[in-house]
Amino acid sequence: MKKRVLAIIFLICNYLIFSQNSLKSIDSLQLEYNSLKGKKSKNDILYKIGIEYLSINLDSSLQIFRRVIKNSKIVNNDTLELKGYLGMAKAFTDKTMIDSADYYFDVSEKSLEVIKSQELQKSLFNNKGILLFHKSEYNLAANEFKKTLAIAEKEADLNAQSRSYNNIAICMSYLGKYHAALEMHIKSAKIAEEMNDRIGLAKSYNNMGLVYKDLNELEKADEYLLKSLLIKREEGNPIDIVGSYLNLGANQRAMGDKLKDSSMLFKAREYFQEALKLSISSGYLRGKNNAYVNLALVESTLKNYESSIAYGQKALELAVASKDYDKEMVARTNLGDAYRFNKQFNLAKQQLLQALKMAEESQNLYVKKEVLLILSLLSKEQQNFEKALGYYEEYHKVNDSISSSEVKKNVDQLEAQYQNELKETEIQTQRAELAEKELNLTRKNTQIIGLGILVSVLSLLGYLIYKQQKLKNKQLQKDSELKIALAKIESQNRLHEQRIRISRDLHDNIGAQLTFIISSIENLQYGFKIANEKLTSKLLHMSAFTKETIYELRDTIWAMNKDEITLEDLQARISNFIDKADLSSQGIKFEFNTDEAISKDLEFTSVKGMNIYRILQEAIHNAIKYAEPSLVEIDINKVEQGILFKVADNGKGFYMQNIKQGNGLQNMKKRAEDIGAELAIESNLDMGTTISLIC
Amino acid sequence: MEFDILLIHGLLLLALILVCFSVKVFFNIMSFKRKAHKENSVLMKDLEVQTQKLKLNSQKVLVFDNLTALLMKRLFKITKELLAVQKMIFIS
Repeated sequence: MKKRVLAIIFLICNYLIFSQNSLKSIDSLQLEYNSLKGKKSKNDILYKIGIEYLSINLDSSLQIFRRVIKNSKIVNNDTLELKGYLGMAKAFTDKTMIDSADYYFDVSEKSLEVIKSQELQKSLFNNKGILLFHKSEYNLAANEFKKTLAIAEKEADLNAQSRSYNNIAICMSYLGKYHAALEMHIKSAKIAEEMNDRIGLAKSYNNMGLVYKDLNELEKADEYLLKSLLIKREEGNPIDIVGSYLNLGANQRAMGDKLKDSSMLFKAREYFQEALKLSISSGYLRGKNNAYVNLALVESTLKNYESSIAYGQKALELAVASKDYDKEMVARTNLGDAYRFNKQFNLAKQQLLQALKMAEESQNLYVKKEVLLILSLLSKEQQNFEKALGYYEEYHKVNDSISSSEVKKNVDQLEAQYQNELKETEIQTQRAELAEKELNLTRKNTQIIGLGILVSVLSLLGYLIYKQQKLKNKQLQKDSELKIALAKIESQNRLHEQRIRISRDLHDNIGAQLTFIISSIENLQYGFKIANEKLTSKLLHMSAFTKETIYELRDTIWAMNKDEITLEDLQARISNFIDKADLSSQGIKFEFNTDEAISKDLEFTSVKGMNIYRILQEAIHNAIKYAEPSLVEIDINKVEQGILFKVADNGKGFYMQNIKQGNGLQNMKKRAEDIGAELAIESNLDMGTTISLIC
Repeated sequence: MEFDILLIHGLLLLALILVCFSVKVFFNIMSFKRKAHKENSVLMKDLEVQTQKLKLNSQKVLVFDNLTALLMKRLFKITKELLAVQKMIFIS
């Protein structure tokens, strides 16, 4: 019972602005309300006042929200009307008028379908969660808080997230899922740390302490409650500090009960007294009331019944003054019990009967059960055993009824839980099946892709190998063709070389024979002293002809013995020929000039060199023989087209058209043609002749 | 399931090996092309040299053939002249 009351206080505390602050706010809001003229603006302020009254006076709050709804309808303000409904629902929730709260939540839900405000939706889920918590439907309450959390996460509203975690955690505690509750509180604490929200952090520590208390880990609970108290002291809010003192006191009392250690009970009393002192100094009524109730209980445990009675009376006075029905009922029960211990049986009976009446009126079976048990004990102590038995039997009936309703509730809860778990299992199975199917599909796709890649790579490899083979064959064919061509040319070359060698042998032989013929003719000429002039002339002619043949042979052999003929070689040979021509011809001057710009290393093939020499030789020979010149000029110059060999004389010249071209000129032309050179003959009567060879 | 995973891994491994092999074949082709080009160049150069040589030798053979013909012609003429001289000597 106490645990339930405490939890509700925490849930409400998360949302309510404490009464003292609320009173100040209400005053300032009322001033503002009076100063405003517009109905619309006034209505907004009225709604705010209603919210402030939620933590002080629920009836006033309900009245104000009714006015807000009425005014909103007049000015057609749907949002404020919805806010009014939500306020009504909240106020009825706090008044634990479940049916009315349910009605207003339904109305709010319908309005929200039209208005669609995330903020109001969040508020609806949260308040509905609180209502369901009051109805002890912790699972459903947790679901509502989870919805609030989802919206808060979507909006990145850390405050609401922290609050939702706290609320879910409290539901978890009530469902006996203490570890889940701790997890939620830790998350809430992390958010508070992230936001540097010291009060939020203190509340999380406080709640964690309460969870540890539920887990019966009282030392750990004490540690967390103390942590919370230290932070609250730093922050200095007396209402928060009072809450911590009360929780610490309750924990110490539980520890004292458990360990049978009165020092802990004294410590608990100290905490409650601190709470009381602070509540009085700060005018915190609820704290004051709770402190009195707890002090009465601890004094009763310490067997200080008079003190217990005094505290109980004060608690009762406060409860009556604040018209708190539940607290009054509990206070009367506790006071009655204290009177019983103090042997003031009449007073005890009076209080207990009053409490019993209230419990019956409010159908609070828990309080009724407690009262009946105490009344039974009281009757027993008064030696009225018949009455004692009567109360005891009634106590058992109530207890059975609580048990059966509890059992039913538990069974229902278990059934719901079972159904939920069944559905969850089914969903999990379906999800698993779906995931497996997706996995299979992915695997098959991967296999197909893998096969595709493999086939592509294989095709590529096949193509590359085919290309390689093709290239090899092509290369082999080309290589073979080249080698065959090379072998053929080499063979032809060898054949030519052989022919050249044979020709050389033959020419050497002929050369030797010609030399012998010359020698024979000269012997005949000088050895026999021939007087016949005709014979002598014939012999001289033969000797000259043979010599000429030998020279021709030598010139050819000279050229053919070399692979390349340099310009220098050619120059020397021409020079040699000019010297001989100079000796054999009288009155002709020879001039041989070479352009300095031409490199001496310029090379011609042996055939080309020989043909150039022969053409020049023929040209000089023709000049000496036919032109009767006084000067023959031989020039070698560099021109644009190549090298120019020029033989010019200042002889009698001739008309080109009148001259019948003999063997000499024809030979010259043929040789020039053979070596791909250009031959030009220029001549005019008495103007000399110029023969040009460009190659 | 394990077989599937093994198969996929096997396929991918095989594909990887084949890719490596393909790369190797590709580089072999490149290297072969370079080598073939080099060999062909050497052979072409030899062929060119030999062709040049053949051309030169052909010219030389022609020159020598012409020279032989000329020499033969002249030897014939000299022989004829010698026979005429011999005849003249005997008559005188």
